[in-house]
Amino acid sequence: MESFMYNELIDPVILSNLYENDYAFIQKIFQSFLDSGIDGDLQQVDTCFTSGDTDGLRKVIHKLKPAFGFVGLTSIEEQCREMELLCANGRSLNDLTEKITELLNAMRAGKKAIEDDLQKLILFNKT
Amino acid sequence: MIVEDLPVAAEYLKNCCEKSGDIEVLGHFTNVNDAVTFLNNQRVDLIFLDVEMPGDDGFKLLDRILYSPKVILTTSKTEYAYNAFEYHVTDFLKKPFTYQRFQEAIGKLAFSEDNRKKESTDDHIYIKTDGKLVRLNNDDILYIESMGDYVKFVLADKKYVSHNTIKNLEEKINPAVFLKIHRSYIVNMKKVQNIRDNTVVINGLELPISKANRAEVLKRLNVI
Repeated sequence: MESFMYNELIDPVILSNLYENDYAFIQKIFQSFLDSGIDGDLQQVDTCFTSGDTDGLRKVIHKLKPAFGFVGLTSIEEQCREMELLCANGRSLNDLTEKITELLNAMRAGKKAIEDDLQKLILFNKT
Repeated sequence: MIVEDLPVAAEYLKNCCEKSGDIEVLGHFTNVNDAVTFLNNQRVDLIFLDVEMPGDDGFKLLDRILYSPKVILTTSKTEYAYNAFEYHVTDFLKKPFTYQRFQEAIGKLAFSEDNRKKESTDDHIYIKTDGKLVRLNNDDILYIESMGDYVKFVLADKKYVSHNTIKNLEEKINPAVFLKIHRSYIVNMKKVQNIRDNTVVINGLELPISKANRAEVLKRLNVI
C-alpha cells in the first residue's frame, strides 16, 4: 500500500505506531482534533497568558498536550509538557513571555499542518 | 465505559475497544457528574478514566460511585501513578498510547480477574489489627462496617477494627459469601435472617440496603 507523506511538522513514526497506517482512521482523528474546539483552546492559552492566570494556563495546556500527541505533533506535545511543568512550579508568566509566544505560534502552525494534511488525506483515501 | 474530555483520546479509545473485540463501550462521558449518574444506575465492568477534567477529577468519581468496577486510568501525567496505586486501579495508560499498550492493560485486567477468582475460593481472610495479623473465617464474620479510613469486622462475639476501606475489601473478599449492601456495609449473605423494606437483619441487627444495591441483594436471595 502506498504511504502518505505527512507535513514535516508531523511525526510519521508516531502516527504509524498509533494507527498502524490506517489512513481512514487517521483522517477521523485529524477531523476530531480540528472539531474539538482547538481554536477556543488556543484563544484560552492567549487569554490566560495575558491575564496572568497561571493555573488556567496549566490546565488548558494539560488538555492540549495529548491532543497534539495523538496527531503526531510530538515537538509541540513536548513544548506543552515543559510549559505545564513551569506553570506547576509557579513560574511567573512575565518570565515566560518568549516561551509562551513560541508555543502559541507552534500550536497555530501545527493546527494549520493538520488542516492541510486532512484535505490531502481525504483525497488520498478516495483514491 | 469511557470518561474522557478530550475528543481525540475518546475516539482513539473507542477504536481500541472495538478492535479488541472483547469490550463493548456502554457510554462516553466528558465529566464526572454525568458519569456518576450513569454509573449509579447501570453497572459496568470497566472504566477508562481520565484524571484532569473540567469540574471534579477522575479520583472523585471513584470516591462517589457505589460499587467498584475495574479501572484503567488514561492520563498524560505520570504524577498520578501514586494515586492510581492508592485507588487500586488495574493499569495506567499514558496518552497517547499504542494499541499494543492498550492490549497489555486489558491483559492485566484478565490476570487480576483470574487472581480474584482464585482468591475467592478461600474460606478465610487475614486482617491487620492491633499490630498483628488475625485470621478470620468467613463463616464467623457477620458483617463489615465502614468507619472512614477504617473498617469494623463484626463477629457474633467479637469486633475487630482494621485500617482499610469497603471499596478495597469488596475487591478482595469472597464474592460468593459477601455482598456490599450499602456504601458502608458488606454483609455475609449466609447470616441474613430476613429482609424488610430497605434493611437486612443479621443477628438481630438492622442494616440499611442502599437503593443502588437493592437489586443485587434481591438477586442473591434464594426466593422460592
